[in-house]
Amino acid sequence: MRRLLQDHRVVVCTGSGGVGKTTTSAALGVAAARMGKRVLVLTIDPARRLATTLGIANSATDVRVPRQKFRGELWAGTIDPPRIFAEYIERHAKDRATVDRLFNNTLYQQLSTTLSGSQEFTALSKLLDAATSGDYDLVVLDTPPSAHAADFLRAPARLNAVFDSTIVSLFMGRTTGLGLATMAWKRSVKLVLGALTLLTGSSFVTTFNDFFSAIDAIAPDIRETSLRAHALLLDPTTAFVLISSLDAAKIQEGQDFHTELSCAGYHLKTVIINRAWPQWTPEDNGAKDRTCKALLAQDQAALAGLYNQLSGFYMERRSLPTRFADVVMVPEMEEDLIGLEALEKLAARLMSMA
Amino acid sequence: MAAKKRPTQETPARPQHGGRSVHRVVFVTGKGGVGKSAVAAATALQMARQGQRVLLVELGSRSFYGPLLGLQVGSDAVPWRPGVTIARWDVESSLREYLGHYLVFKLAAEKILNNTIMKALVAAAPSLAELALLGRVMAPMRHAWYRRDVDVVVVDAYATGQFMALLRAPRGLAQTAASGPMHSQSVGLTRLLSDAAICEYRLVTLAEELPIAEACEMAAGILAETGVAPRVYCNRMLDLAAWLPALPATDLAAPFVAAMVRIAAHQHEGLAALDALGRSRAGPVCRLPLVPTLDAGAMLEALTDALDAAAGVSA
Repeated sequence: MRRLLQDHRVVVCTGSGGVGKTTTSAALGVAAARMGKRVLVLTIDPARRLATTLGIANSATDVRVPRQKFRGELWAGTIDPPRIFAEYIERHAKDRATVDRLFNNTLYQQLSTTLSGSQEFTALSKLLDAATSGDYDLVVLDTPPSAHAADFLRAPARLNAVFDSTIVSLFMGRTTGLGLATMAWKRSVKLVLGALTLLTGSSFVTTFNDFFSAIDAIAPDIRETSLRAHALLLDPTTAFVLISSLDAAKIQEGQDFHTELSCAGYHLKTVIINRAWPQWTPEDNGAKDRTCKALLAQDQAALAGLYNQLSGFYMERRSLPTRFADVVMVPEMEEDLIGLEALEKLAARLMSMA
Repeated sequence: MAAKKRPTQETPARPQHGGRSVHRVVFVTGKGGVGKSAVAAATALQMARQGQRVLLVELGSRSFYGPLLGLQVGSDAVPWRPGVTIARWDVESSLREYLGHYLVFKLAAEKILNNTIMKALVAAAPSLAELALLGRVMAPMRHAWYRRDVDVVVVDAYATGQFMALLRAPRGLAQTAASGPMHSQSVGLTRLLSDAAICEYRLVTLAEELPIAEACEMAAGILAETGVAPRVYCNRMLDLAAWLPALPATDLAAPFVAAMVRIAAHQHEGLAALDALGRSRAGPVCRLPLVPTLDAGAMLEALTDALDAAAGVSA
């Protein structure tokens, strides 16, 4: 775990919803700061208490986490996709009229919040800015919530498909340089537009055309950013961490994602299995029996029964096999994660594992 | 498919829509990791026990139930238990079905769907994808010729944010597409989603701070969007006595008892927060137990028993 933070400039925390990704990302940031790093943790939609702990509850810019006493320095920032997307467009658009036309487009208004891939794109563009700014030794990125860990990686490709300049050109009616394929392309564009007009009425298609003509100006920048972000993700100084919980479905999904990452050339360094079992889970049946007897000695027959049932379950779960080579199982913390001290405890525990 | 004989056990009456008897729809949602899919499957089993014919639908490109239950789950429903079939609907297969109904030539629909531009478009306008999924769920209510021989469709829907996007999609699209079949489709879907005789919303949560906060927010969101108060299911509850002993720190069992005391406090606070929502804003809260087994089948049966018991209490 120390080497993960020591040897990399970017750590990307992936995993499906509800596995404690954001908290773990923050704890990794704390661990790096304790090691003397100047580190930025980028989170998306953190829980209020975590946001308060990190000092980013009401801040749009990156902030130095308050009340820290680390060898290094811990910074935190949130990713607000609609705002970052808007900033991105303002920064890259050539004139004010394009910006206004885009912001007033109904489709854009839906897109900036729900466009599949836009959350991931804004996260990546922010990551890219932070990692290349020279301000930090390490950037820890908490990826957007998604049903599946792999969604994060597919998102840029999906977004690229949207902004692919060939497609935009075709919608714009520009067909230079496409040669023989032109006629076939033109026909299929007509087919799609025809179907859309039938389904949606013509106003939708007009909105769509407007959107594309406005976005056309910044499409090359979006592509360029996506490509640079992709290169950064593939860089050997970027490590992926998969965070999972200990149940059969999540583990299966994690294993599929593991394979997918390796095949695509990304560097998946560690799998963290969060809240794998409660602290009190006995090591073996002997310990279990002794605790059970202790409860009975206190006249707590009902609790002893519950203890037997639960410890049996957690012990069984603990022995679930996984295919992961480098896996860290983190027991559930014995208290609620409130404040920086609790994050430090979690960080210390993470660093002490494996 | 020929209509099957009506089940003999007492079953809720099939709702009427447009002069026809149609199936009901139960959407199951919640924060990621709260056991939403398991509760959806148990809901399907519970309804099958009442003699209803159930289609359990999962949304998305990957199957959760397939690996869990050892089935090959795809766009066409596969049988799981007596009275229950499971299908997985993704955007592409739903859009294909949807377009196929509107375009006279199936060939044209195929051609359009295989078109790169169409793929880019579906990616660009996500409401289109959501409309296709909802349109498929509601197809029997929308079209007299669409047959689906079940009494209820249980949808293992998306988690919080994505689910709200799904609910809001028809309204948003009705604004974007001001006329045409997609406009009327969107308006029709909005109406169906607000029809308490047809749609039921089940919101799953855990008695932990974050899931509870998200559930409260979401209950309000579902109510605001549809006018229907969701039923709330507090999952993985432990049956703990009101009074738990304080053991000396040296006692072997002290860590376990301290953990139970913490959980009891969380459960108490969580239920209080859900109760504070009020019955008008969220339906009665149903407690579901933590089922301590790794056996998926046994776990689902136990959850179904708990749903049955809760239904008996509230009836």
